[in-house]
Amino acid sequence: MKPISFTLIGMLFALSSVFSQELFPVHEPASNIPKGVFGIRGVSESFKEIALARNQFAAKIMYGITANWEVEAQTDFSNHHASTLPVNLVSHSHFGNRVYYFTNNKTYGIEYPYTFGGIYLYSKYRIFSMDRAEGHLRAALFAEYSTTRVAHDEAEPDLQGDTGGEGGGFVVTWLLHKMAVSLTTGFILPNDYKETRDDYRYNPPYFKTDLSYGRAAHFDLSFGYLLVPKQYDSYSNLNINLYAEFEGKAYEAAKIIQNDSVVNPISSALLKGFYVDFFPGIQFIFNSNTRIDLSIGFSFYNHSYSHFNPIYSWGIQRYIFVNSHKAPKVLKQTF
Amino acid sequence: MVIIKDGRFCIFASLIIVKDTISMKKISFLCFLLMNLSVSAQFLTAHVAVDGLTCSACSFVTQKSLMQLPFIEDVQMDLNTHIATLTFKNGSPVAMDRIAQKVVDAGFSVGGFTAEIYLKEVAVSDNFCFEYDGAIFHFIQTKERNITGIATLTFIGKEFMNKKEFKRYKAAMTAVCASGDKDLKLTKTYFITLK
Repeated sequence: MKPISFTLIGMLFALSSVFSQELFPVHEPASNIPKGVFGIRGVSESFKEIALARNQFAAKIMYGITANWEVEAQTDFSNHHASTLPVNLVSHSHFGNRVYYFTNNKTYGIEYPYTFGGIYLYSKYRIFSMDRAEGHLRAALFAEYSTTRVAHDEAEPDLQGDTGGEGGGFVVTWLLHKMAVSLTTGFILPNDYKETRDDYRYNPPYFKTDLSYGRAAHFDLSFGYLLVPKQYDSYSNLNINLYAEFEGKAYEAAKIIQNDSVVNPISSALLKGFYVDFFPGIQFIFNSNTRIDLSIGFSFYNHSYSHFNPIYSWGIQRYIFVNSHKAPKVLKQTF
Repeated sequence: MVIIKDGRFCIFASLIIVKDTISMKKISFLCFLLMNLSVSAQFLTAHVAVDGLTCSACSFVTQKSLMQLPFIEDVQMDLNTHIATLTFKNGSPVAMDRIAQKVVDAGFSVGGFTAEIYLKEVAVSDNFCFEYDGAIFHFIQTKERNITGIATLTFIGKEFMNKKEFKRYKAAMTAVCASGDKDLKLTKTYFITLK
């Protein structure tokens, strides 16, 4: 058994735009949360790893500093990681996308307690907007930072739950009537994870591991479609949006230094990799504000070593308006 | 009370509120005196076409954003055409640029902006101007005509229309009006037209 990390955890949180069809459950669009508005979001993700259920819960708060600049902060809680790296980190085996640990031919029972992953910060700045009636083309730059420091034992980095570090990238979103398409390209520069444990076989009696995760590039393509309503009568009309999102990620091999010696990784999970996941999703928006997102993540090409598929996730999000003099009236008229 | 540039005459008119309506007096040479009077006027409604959105959640945040303005009585959004109809509090000075900015703050753009005002026996023409709440309202590309009744003013400027439309008016946007009252600080010129 081995701790499984999430690739997409908080990415489900990555949402702040106000366009139904580009309120992607998994990826951020180029549009931002409105100026002076707070957003809150909660997400739960689960997948089954052999007989073990892996869960992650995350809470996020968003704020629009200006119309073009938004910031987000998120924390997560999961049972994805053990409290320490596996004893046989370098060679722990992976079968398909299943992960086991063996030492002396025995499967070790590693406990995976629910722990807080860290604080994830995200900032996005819209640099380009071309609006038209019922459409737009927009572009934004983003930067992200994570304080996460957990015993993640695969090469693949993920700032939302697995690894600390920095990232950044570029998003372009095109909205036309009921359809939205968004492309995100980004990079991740993860921090190392360092661990020292008592081991009296060594002198001094410590076993030190310095695990450098691979740097990663990701390419994400999202499609959204406003299915219902065809015509609006009021703000209380239920909105249903369909999504198809792809997430491609390429990462380098991990570098491992144990007791000051460079050790070559053997496990596939620590070598370089590339995979694409596919996330079909559906979204319900109530009263033009409260959002419920449901999505399932499947392997599309290769697979991640840091999570199993399918990933079942759901999220809830709402905007909080401050300084508003009064609530908008719900329209009942027919247009 | 007149002229400023290019030898063109610019006439300021003072607006006097009569309940909800406004009678506007066009005063050529006496205008200077009247400019010193406390002038207030009331726009009746405004229609703002919001660009860059489709869904009702987007209309919702735009409406919320507009409602933060203290002079707005009510906002009605047409969720299909994305046109916001604004009504103003009686007697409150209305700042059209702040309305446009609120749409931008919500994350969208103004595709078109019109406002209704009551005019009584006013002869409008190119470069006719009036003053309202410290701002100059300057007519361009407007045929000469006399107006009594509700006039729909189309606001012109980058912040009030899409780029394509703006190009049509850009060349005509030369400020030729200024206040006759030197003590009155006019911070804003709105270019408008009557279609």
